Amino acid sequence: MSSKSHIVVIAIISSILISAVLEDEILWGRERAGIRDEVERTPMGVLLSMMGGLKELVADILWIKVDDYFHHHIDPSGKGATLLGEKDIMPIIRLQTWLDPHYVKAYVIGGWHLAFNLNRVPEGIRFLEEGKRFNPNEPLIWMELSRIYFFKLKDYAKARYCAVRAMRLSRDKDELASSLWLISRSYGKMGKEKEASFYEKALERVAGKGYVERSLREALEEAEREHEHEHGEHSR
Amino acid sequence: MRRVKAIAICTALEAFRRRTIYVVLFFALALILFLGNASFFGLGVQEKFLKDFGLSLLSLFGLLLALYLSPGSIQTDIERKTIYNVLSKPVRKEDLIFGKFIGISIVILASFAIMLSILVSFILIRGGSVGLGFLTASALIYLEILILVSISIFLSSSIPTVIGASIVLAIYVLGHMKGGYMKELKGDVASNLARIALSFIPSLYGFDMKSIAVHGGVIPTLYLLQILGYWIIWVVIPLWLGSILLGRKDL
Repeated sequence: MSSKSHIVVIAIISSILISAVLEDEILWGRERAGIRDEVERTPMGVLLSMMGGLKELVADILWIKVDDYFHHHIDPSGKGATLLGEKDIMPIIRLQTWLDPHYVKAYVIGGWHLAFNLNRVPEGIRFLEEGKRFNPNEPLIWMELSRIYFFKLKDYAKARYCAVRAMRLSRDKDELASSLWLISRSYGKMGKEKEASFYEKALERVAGKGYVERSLREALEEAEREHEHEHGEHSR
Repeated sequence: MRRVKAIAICTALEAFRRRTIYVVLFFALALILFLGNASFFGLGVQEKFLKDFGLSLLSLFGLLLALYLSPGSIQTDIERKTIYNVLSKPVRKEDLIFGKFIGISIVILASFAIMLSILVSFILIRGGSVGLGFLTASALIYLEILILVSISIFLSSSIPTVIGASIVLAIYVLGHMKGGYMKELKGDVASNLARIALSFIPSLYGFDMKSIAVHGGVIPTLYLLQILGYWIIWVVIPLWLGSILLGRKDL
C-alpha cells in the first residue's frame, strides 16, 4: 500500500467516526426539538418512514378528509347529511399525528372527537397527553384537556390546572378569554367563590361583558352561514 | 481555483441549455400556483399546507435535478470522449470533479431561488408569514440535495449513469428512513454491524426541519452548526474519493 492509499484510508475512517459522533448529536438535537423519527413496527410504519421528507405533505392531504368529514358528514348513498361513519375518521387523525406530531389541530380535534362524540374519554385524554408531549407550549391542547376534565369528568381541580397552563401560554385575546372562563367556572364548581369572581372580573376586562353569550352567538351564526353555504351548493 | 471556476461556469451553462430543466421548473411552478389558489383547506391550515407543500416540492424538485444532472456528469463526458478535450488542457482531475459539483450546485440554487421567491410571495399574498425558520429549512433542503449531487458525481466517476441514479434514489429514501432505524438499534453485535452499514448512508433526515419551520418554530443554532459540520464531511469526502477514482482511470 502506498502512502497516498494510507492517507485515503485514514481520511475515510476518521470521516466516518466524526460523522457517527455528529449523527448521534443530530438525533439527540431532533429529539430535543420534538421531531419524531421513530419507526412504528408495522408495515404502515415502515411505509411512512419511507416517505421521509414528504410526511408532512401527506398529513396535510389527510386533513382535507378530516375537514370535509367534520363539515359535511355526507352519506354516500345520497340520502343527505348524516352522522354515519362517525368512528371512521379517527384512524385518519391518528395517521396524521404519526406523520406530523406538530399538527396541533389534529390532536385537538381528535381529542375532542374521542371524548365528546365517541364518549371514549380516557383515550381522548391519552391522545391529548401525547400531543402535549410533542407540543408542550401549545395552549389549545391544554385548553381541550381542561374542557374534557370540566365537562366530561367533572374533575374541576384538574380542569383548573390545565386552564391555568393554557392561560399562561395563550397568544391572543380569544385564547386568554377561553382559559379565564374555564378557570373561573372551575373555581365556582369547587366552591371557591372568591377566586371564581376574581377570574370572572379578569375575563370581563379581557373580553368585555357577556363574553360567553357573544361567543355562542358568533358560533351559531357561523354554523348557520356554513349550513346555508352547503345547502346552496347541494341544491346547485 | 480559476480552472475550477471555468469548469463550473461551463457545467452551469451546459445545464441551463437543457430544456428538461425548464419543463420541470414550469411544472413545479404551476403546482405552486394551482395549490396556492386551492380553497379546499378549511380550519385555517392553508398557510401550513402551502409551506409544507412548497418545502416538499423543493425537496422533490431538487432530487429530480440532482438525478438528472449529476449521475451522468462524468460518465457521459467519458462516453462522448469530450473529457479528453478538457483534460488535454492544464486541468487536474480534481478540478474537473469540484468544478462539475459547483456548476450543478449553481443550477440547483438558481432553480431553488425562483421557486422559493414564488412560494414566499404566495404565502405573503395569502396573509401568511415567512420567518427565519422557514428560510433555514429551505436552505437545509438545498444542502441535502448537494450531498446527493456530491455522491452522484463520485459514483459517476466509475459507475454507469442509470445505476448511479438508482443508487442515489435509494440513498435518498434510506437517508430519510435512517433516523428511525438508528433509534431501534441496541448494543448487540447485529445492531453494531447494522450501525456500521448505516454509517455509509448520509443522515438526510437531519436536514428535514419542515415540521419545526412550518409551525413557526426556530431551529437551534447548535443543531445548525452540527448539521453543517456533517454536511461538509458528506460533500467533501465523496468528491475527493471521486477525484481519486478518476485519477486512477487511464484517460
